[in-house]
Amino acid sequence: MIIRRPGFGSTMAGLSVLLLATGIAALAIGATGFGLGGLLHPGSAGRDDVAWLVLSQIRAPRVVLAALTGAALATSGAVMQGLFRNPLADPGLIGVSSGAALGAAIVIVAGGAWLGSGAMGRWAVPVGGMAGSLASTALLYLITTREGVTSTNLVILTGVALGAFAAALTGILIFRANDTALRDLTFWTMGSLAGATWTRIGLLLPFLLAATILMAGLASPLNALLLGETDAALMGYRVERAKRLAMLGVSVATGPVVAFVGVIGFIGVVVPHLVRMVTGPDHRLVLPGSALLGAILLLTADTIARIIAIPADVPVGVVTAAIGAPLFVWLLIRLHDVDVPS
Amino acid sequence: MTLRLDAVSLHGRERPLLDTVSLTLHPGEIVAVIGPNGAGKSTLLRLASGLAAPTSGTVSLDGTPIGDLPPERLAARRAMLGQDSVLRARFSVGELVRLGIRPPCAPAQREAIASEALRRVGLEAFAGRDVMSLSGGERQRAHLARVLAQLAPSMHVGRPGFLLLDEPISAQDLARQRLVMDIARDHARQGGGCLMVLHDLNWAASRADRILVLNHGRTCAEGAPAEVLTPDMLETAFDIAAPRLRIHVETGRPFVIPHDFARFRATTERKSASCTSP
Repeated sequence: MIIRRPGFGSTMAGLSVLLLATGIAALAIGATGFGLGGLLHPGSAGRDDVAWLVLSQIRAPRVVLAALTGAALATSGAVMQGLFRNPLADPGLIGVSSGAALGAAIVIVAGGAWLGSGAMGRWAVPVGGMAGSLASTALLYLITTREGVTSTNLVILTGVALGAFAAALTGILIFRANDTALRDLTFWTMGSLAGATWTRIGLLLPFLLAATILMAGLASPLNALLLGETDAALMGYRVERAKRLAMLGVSVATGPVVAFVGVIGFIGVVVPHLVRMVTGPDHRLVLPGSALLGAILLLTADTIARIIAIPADVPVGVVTAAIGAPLFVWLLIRLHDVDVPS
Repeated sequence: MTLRLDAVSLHGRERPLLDTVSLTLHPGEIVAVIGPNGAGKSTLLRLASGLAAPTSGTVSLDGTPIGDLPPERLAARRAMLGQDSVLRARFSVGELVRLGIRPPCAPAQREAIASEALRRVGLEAFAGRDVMSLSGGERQRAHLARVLAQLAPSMHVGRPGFLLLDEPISAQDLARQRLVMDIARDHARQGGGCLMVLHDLNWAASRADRILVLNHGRTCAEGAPAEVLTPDMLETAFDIAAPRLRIHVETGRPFVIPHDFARFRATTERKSASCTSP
């Protein structure tokens, strides 16, 4: 079987154009429709102050947050799949998102009283999410890795268990708390982008920038790791360092995002696979490709979530699960066919 | 410019895997490691490559303890072909080989190194093929090409490195066994050292400069093939009944005929094969 690959430039350019188009469509579509004309001439829409407010303060931050979240989750999924050499690794499936949600919930419940609503209180929530995801990633790694060998089946099973445990603790916190910030369990388990504000995006950006820097150097080591840790080490890669960087990068990207949008499933597992089908396994393409396609798909899912039951706002996790779960099963069957082992 | 193992031991959970073994690999030399299953051959390679650190004793490369070398520099000085690969990604053969070439290396040079390595292992026509679609023997040679490519930059600057091969012909047909053994020979001729674990005593006898026999983690014998491969040693180390030995009339290298096959007479009769290649 001869393998043909598209070039780096054309893949990224194609995905970027698609992302731009999706973003514009997402801005235009919604309970308050703007149409392309309204977007291009904000002045005309601006006559209606309410409409302009909807666009600039509600819709636009939501679109940006959806894109950033999709990019963060999908890239994290791609890194985790490389790190654990497991095609099913995904922050949602293996409990990292649930850990992040627990971390954020603990900060909100325990810290709400003394952190206040100042700068410290604002930063505490994403930091809590990051700590939660770092703790669950590290715990997962410790449990499933013996003498440098990570058991792939154990990763999934342990991750599911860890995720369920973290979700249970979050549930207890929510029922014990009377804090308004924790108003409903649906947010943490299904995810929602409805709370998007420019402030939150501003809080997220430093984390995502740090995660990008952490993950940028990972492409080559992750490629080598596809040959196994032994061969990667023999080829001169600092395997332990790469693994720590990968876990840190995933936690820094996933934790703060989950703290603001809850647990959104399937983006992390499905997107990297879709990208790989086109680009092949090279992480120099898979990582940026996943970021772009993750942004596109979550943006699409959130637009569907906004308009499918107007005026109600369906949790975006419902949409990603409804689309992602069948895709996931299809991927499993396909992976089975090409004999990608468990 | 040597790879030196000095009285190395490695203790496993229950038994010593390797017990005070010493070996020096010089440039331009092929050393074959033989011994029964579980004798510690692969463990010796793991220690020689720096993958594992010995419980006692030292491993040094060019006089530097191997653990003190930065991974990048170590990778430029030695490359190792393991027994099994866990690769499950759908890389093409060419992509797999290029993975072995560390940056900094100009794309044109990478390309040249990769295609030269593929040519050497007889896979030049396979560059675009999916590694997962290859047969076991082809895949083993694809990984060998990756390992050769890893050392190629150091060969180019006149510092040939050390090639560590763990059963490199285990999946190869007869013609490809010769091909792989010739690659080892060429590497040595270019001034590189080659340490290889072999199960085929006769390939070891015909191509190695020295043979190290391991048994129960200890050195059983070490020296030139003719000195080492004696019926007594084979009986002791391999637990096989009285093998016969033939000696090559020109090279003086031994050829081992196991007891079971010692009573066959020679035949000169040729029958045309019905399975000609297409």
